[in-house]
Amino acid sequence: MGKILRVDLTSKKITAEELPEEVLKNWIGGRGLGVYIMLKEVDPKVDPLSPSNKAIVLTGPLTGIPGVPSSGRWCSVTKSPLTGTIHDSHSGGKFGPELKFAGFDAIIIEGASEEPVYLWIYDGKAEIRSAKHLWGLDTHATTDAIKEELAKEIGEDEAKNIKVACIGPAGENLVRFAAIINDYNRAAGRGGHGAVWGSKKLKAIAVRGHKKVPIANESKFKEAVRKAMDKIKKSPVTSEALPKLGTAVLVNIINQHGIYPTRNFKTGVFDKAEEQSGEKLVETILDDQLVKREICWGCPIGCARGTRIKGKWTGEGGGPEYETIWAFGAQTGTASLEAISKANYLCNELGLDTISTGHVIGTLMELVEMGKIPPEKLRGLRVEWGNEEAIVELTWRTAFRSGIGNDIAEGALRLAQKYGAPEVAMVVRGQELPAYDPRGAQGHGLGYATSNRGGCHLRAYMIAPEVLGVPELVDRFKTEGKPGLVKHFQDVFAVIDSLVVCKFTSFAIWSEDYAEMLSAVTGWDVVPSDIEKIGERIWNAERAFNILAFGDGREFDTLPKRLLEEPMPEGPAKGHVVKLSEMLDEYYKLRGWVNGRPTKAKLGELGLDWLASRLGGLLPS
Amino acid sequence: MIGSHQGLEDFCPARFFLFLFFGVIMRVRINVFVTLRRELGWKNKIVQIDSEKAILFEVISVIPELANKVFDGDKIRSGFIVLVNGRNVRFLNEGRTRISDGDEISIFPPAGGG
Repeated sequence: MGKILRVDLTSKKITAEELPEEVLKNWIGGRGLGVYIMLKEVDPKVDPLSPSNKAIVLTGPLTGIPGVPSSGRWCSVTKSPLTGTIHDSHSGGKFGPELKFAGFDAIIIEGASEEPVYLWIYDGKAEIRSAKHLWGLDTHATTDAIKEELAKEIGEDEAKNIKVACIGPAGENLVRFAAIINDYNRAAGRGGHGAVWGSKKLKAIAVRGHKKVPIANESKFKEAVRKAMDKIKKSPVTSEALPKLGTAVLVNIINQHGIYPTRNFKTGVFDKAEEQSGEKLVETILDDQLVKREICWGCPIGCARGTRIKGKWTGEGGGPEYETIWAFGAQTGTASLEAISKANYLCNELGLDTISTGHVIGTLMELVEMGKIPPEKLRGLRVEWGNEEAIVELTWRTAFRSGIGNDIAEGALRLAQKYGAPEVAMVVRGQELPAYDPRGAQGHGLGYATSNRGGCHLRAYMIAPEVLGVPELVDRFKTEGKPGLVKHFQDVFAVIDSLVVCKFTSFAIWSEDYAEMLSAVTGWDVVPSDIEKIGERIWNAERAFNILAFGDGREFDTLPKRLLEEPMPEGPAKGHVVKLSEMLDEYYKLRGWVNGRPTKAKLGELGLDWLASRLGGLLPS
Repeated sequence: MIGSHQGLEDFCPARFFLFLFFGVIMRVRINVFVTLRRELGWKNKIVQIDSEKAILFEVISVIPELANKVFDGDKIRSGFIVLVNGRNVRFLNEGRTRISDGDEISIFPPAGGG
């Protein structure tokens, strides 16, 4: 563990390094380790699209170990061109384990190449190769071309098992929410990590390896994994609902609770939700063979979707997930599961984040409705709620920065600011909000507002306790007790992201299970309270990066005015707004923060004195 | 009076006719989701109850195969989400939640996502 590949794209120099065990004990891997490296090596004020920013690709200590539930993921950490914050973005598929089999836990990519390149890592060796012939290709063509090219050198059978993570035209064109796509249809979607690769002229990373990931204590490991797997098999969420219906199971659930954001968060009830539900998806476009192809490495849950559409829109591919269905569906007022799927396939192929793409198209629709967009900008396209032609066309236009797509590519906030209506940008720290209206889930609202990477549902997934009753149901309209829950979830999730295990396992297992598996694999003695402490360290370090980057603090821990001041107009959450001010001070108190910034004492307690000295006068006195 | 929330503008001749013959009739819509749909073979049903008052348990019990899935005795099974007009009945009165004419009940087996 701790083997890092450092790739300087300016000088074309490649080196291998080992990280001290102490660093790994404090930051684990994945998100935590990425944040640590960014703080140590990158000026937080860096322009995200400049050569001085770094793009870090990481796995975790549990990645690629057979038996560990849902450990087939990987994570990217960088400074985001969308938010200007520290940012981690995660993806499933098979790329993460293969990187580990190739002998590396992480790759630090620095500098920038003048010509397009890709990185090829094969059993402990790495080389930078020309990608001039790949520039301009979509993600599927890029992946196939790299495999074909390398097959000539390592043989076809071996090349079949190469895993590729790459960018499409959206990343090349520096779309601020361009994704990195691996294994054809899996996305490190949020935050524009694909644009960071594009700015470095890094088209792809291809990996193949045969190493086995070592385990420190085999008997302890078997026992820990058996316990975790038992819980996953017993949980109806991880053994029934997610495998059978995928994440799209949420469409009806969230809509029935009146918090399915519709037409850019104007309301929380979409009258056509049934037409795009998980139940409908299974009945109509799901393809069992494609599902098998899409399921992540080593996953006992298997929530992935593979679909095929025929008729007005045709195609096949991965998805759509709940968030994608919402973003291209209710957010734009569109009903058709086929049109949503078509837009999803285009996002995968062109390298776009589905959440931001669909979301920003919804923002544009509201701006058009308000008369803010000059008609000639739209080239005759009817950009109005529910027009499925618009969502498909605007998706490809975004990737190529074509016409109005050039404005969409800048994200909701910059788009709304440019056309004089910043209030319609439904963002936190510049990142577009996802598929839950927090007016009917107060804790979830606090989770959005305090998210270090900007609007995100997966930092403190309060929908689990507030709607789904996991681990226990709490009253979604109340604010009492929410700050403590949000902090606890944020801290534990920061560790799950650093183990680089899928968060869906957390429907069945929690701190003690992760601590046991981590202890067995590493030989460390980790207890559940360590998990929470490490999570808290990561959370504070991220906030520290943001303070150094742009002065993060209370004024950024907020929500769009619509959610704070305009009561939900209809449905089960009618009359509610997010009562953020009732929760924020208690949240700060529990975090040991003042006005959204950690105190020197808190940083000291977490072993972050070195950060406290760097922050100096920026910390509260 | 046919359902306390209805005004004259909602006057429905067919229901008035039913009222004349049968007295008070409560109509409640029940929606089921996820795996329940395949298991039961339907998505939604209108349940009629010949009474002005009813509790959730009584309403669901009109469909015994549904009641068996949702209730263990008179308790809602762990993980099931039962909403009355979008409000989880665990914050109302669980199985004893008062149901009124025109209410909508939505039932989900344990589910999650993200």
